[in-house]
Amino acid sequence: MDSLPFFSFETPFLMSWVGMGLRGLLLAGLFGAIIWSLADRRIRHVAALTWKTAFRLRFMWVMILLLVVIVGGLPAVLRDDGSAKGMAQIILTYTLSMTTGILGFATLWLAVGSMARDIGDCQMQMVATKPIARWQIWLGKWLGIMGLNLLLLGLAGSVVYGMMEYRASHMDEAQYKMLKDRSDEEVINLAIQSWQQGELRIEQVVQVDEEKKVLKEDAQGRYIPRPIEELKRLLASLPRKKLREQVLVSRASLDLEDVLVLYGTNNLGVSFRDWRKSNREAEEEKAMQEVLKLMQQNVAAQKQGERITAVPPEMQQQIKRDIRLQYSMLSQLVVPKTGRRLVFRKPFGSFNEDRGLVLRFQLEDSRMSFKTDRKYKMSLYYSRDGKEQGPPPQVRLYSARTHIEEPLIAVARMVTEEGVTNKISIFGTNDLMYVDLFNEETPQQGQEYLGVIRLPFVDDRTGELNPRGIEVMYYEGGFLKNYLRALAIVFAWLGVLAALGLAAASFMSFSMAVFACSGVLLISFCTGIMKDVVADDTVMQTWTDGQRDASIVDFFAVNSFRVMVSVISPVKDYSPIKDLTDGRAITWGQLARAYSYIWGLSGLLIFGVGTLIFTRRQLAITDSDE
Amino acid sequence: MKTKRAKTLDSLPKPVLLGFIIVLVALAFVVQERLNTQRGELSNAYLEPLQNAPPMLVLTTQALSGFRGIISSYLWLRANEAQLDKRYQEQMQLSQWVSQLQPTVPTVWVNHAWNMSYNLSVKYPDQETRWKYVQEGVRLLRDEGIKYCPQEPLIYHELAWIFQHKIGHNMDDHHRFYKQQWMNNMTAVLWENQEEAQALRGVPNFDALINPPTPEIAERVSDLRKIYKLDPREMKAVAMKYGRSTLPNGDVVDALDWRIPETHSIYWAHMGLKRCANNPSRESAMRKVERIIYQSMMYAFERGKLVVDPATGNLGFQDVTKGMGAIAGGASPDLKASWWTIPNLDITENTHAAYIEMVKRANEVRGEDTYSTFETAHFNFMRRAINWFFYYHREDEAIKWLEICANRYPEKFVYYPGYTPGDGFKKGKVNLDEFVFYKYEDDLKRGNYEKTVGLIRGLLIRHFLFLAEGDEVEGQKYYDKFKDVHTRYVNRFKNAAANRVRLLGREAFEVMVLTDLLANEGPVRAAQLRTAIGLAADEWPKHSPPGSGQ
Repeated sequence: MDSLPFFSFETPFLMSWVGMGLRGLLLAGLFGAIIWSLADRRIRHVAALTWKTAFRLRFMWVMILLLVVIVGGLPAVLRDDGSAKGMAQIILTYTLSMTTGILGFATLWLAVGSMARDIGDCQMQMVATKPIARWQIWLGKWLGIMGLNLLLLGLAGSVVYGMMEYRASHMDEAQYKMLKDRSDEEVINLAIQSWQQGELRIEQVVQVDEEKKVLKEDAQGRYIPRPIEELKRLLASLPRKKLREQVLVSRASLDLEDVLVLYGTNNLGVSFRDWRKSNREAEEEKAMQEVLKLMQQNVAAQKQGERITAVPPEMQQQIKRDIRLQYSMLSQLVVPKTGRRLVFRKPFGSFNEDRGLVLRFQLEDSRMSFKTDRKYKMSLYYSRDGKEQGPPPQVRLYSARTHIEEPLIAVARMVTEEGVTNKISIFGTNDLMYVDLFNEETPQQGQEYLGVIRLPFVDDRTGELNPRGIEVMYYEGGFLKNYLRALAIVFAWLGVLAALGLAAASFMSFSMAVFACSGVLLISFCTGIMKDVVADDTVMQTWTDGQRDASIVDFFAVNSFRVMVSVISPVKDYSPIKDLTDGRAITWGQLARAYSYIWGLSGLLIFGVGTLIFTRRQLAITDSDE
Repeated sequence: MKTKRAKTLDSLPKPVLLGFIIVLVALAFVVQERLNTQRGELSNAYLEPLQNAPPMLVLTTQALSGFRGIISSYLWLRANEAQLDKRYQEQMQLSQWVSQLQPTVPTVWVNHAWNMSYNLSVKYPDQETRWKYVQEGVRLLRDEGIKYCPQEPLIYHELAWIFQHKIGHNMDDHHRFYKQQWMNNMTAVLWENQEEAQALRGVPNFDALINPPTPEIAERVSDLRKIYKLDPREMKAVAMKYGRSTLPNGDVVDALDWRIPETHSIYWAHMGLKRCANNPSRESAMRKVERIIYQSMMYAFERGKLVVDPATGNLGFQDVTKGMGAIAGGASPDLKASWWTIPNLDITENTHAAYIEMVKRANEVRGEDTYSTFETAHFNFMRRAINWFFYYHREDEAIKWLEICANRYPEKFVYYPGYTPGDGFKKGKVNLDEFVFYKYEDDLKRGNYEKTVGLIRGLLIRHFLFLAEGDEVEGQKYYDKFKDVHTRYVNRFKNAAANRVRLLGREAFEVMVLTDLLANEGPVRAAQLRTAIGLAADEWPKHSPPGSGQ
């Protein structure tokens, strides 16, 4: 569990400065080559011919029509959960996914069609006799297809963006209409609920005596609410505000450096890795002794005279694996009156500290019954040094059913006696901030409920910190910037599909190439199953006597799946649409990494293989000759 | 050569081809039904074409053919993944697509409706969104599942179950909100206004709904049919069969309240029994629908009467906005705010009959041994009925039901006090008090919210009525029991969510029961009671301040 089971591009080397430098060079070379190619008249002509071919194909027009229908019509028929956030997420997810799907299919078809048909119809023989290299023809076609993709993706993307912005900007009126006929009591109660949930401040809900700077009270000592109309307008604006803060935004995560196990408020804590290791080793030793004792007793009972002195190695491995898994889980369980201290590192670049931070996490309770909406009492404390330099601890009741978002203050301003304003950042001099989550539950004696909460910060697959488990997010930029970067990643995918289609059609007929590419795509959709097979080390899902069954195809299947996962996952795992709809930043770094993997490695590899075959193949031998 | 080519017809002219197409399509239209019948006769795997489906659904199911399964599986997986990832916004859409891709598979409808109503609704903290998901589960089954699988008992069972359990029971923190919303929905289509609904005790004028005398009623009936898919004729049949009772004084009443969810559970189970009767392949699933009938009848008996606050005339609802009283204009937790139901003793006979019918059907149709299942449930119901009649000071009826129960299930009474093997409970010698409190401890330990509220109300009724009769010792005995029940329940549920199963304070209960008795027990008894507790004539007990008395 302590090492990554798969090959990963996120290796320390590739993530290091050297790795980043190499990646930068690769990308610079790649885009330089593309720009240089575009400057070449012959390549431009081939690209222009590809455009003409595309628009001559009825298939392309059908795809364009489909794109228009999907982008324009889908949002009208989609059913969401009724919230503004849900509406935005579902529209973005489906329109962008469908756009990617349609453009991807069209790209593959066009790439295969333009190359295979040119060869099949012997037109390629005419082109190849001209003073143009084969790789230039190949590249020209790829650039032509990508130019078309750029146009269509730009159009579809603009429509989706415009639609989202339009809906977001007209949301207040729609919400106001829903509140218009509500009774005064309902409106006040809604406002109070919003205040209790932290969506509004108390002074937004009740009247304030501006002179005394206190909340106004009536004769019974109850706060006086603001005018109903004002409250309605305020409530109507909340969904839009939430949408802008949680979905139509770009929020990046701070790096989670470590998680410390806390046993008391004054405890400095011990890293979860050390805690896990020390407990695990003691447990392993104990378990080994017990198993050995049992085995010795069994053997002694059956065969007189024989004696076992050690647990067999494979059984030792199994025991260790089980105990590692157990302690990986236990390190995330927070029993009452204990806590976890999360250590976050300040982002590399500058960020707008005034916009604050957001702690995003979830709780789990495996014993949770469907009957109740249990709320778990936890205290939250965050500081720059893990001790007392931070806002006072807050005690909160959290649900285990949804993601929790808690706003954190990133910077405080203090005015000195000299009148100078000092900014105090939540990040200490070591660029770290500490967030403590403490379990304040008090289970009653004799009750079944034990108050144990799971904070899922460990990746079960690797046993290491899960960067999406508990996050502190900061405002990285606006939605448009994020949206454009998401489209850029989609564009990178299309680039690989175009290259794949061209490479396949360089040595196969149209139908064979389409079939082969479809096969590759199908395989790429199955990486989840492949990962499971590699993790289980077998294709079998059955067990006999506590041991997983094996198959004769395991050796071939596991190894080939391991290779496929290593090749396909880095390309496929950059899923910008999910991040975009969650309001997560697709950072410039991620974008650069995506391009370096998707185009820099996969694209170049396919380009190399494709042009090599195309250069060396005999163009006169085609299907039509057979 | 050129001239010759121009005159040669490689294919027929397009208008002729078009004509052919039209003729062939028309022929296909004529023979399609016959072909479908033959396909049904000749192939076991053949499924009837969808009836009354919208064009888009027909197109999808026909065009995708066998690929529907793959797409449906993909969408289902996506829905599961999204749910595990706590991303719920797509679920409604995905459920709709998955169900529509396989509309004739009943488990698809059942699973998605259950998922909506139970798993997804609770993911949202606010009551409005939750109610939306619960309704979506109901809508999926009622509006679409039944349309495409009209003879499938599972669909009716699930629909009835959502009404009985999700809306009717108290498992959800916002169950009172669901009940209130459902009551509002039904009031809007079944009566002119809430006052009329209350005056008629939740029983609509079925004849007016069947033959609407005015356009206003016709419009309401239209909504009733279109939105809620309720047929007034069937409603009347249900009311006649399960709700019409003759009271001990000879009055005939319709005792099923159509504002409460349990009645709708009975309605849909009744529809299931009726429509699926000719579906022998689903015999085992019918058992579930049968069970829903008597279960819902039992719940309608136990919590089927809505209590009106006699002082205000309002139907009460439990406050779900606790703590709002800090700001002027916000709702305060008070006595008006309680969805309070009490046992509906008027349908005891019908509930008993429903049990008998289901036992008979199970024995005769399926040859099933029902002793430890249906009949044990029946015995438990009758035991409860005896208790409620006792608490409500209707001891003659309690003894009547005790005799019925003892005659039917003598072997289950062997260990009860006062039972003599062979003779049963001897008339005139039965100590009801002893009988009822024999299982008192058990009831206290396991009693849920409704049972406890009913028990508290019963104990207080006995307390006040003994006081009115001048028997202070007996009155005090029941008051002590009331305090004991209340305290033990409060301790047992002190960690439960406030708006789900928490009881009102003791004082609040006393005021409500007393007010109810003063309003409904007749002038003599009311006067005796007022004298006993020191209230002036026409004086009503005062409501306690908000939140007090817990």
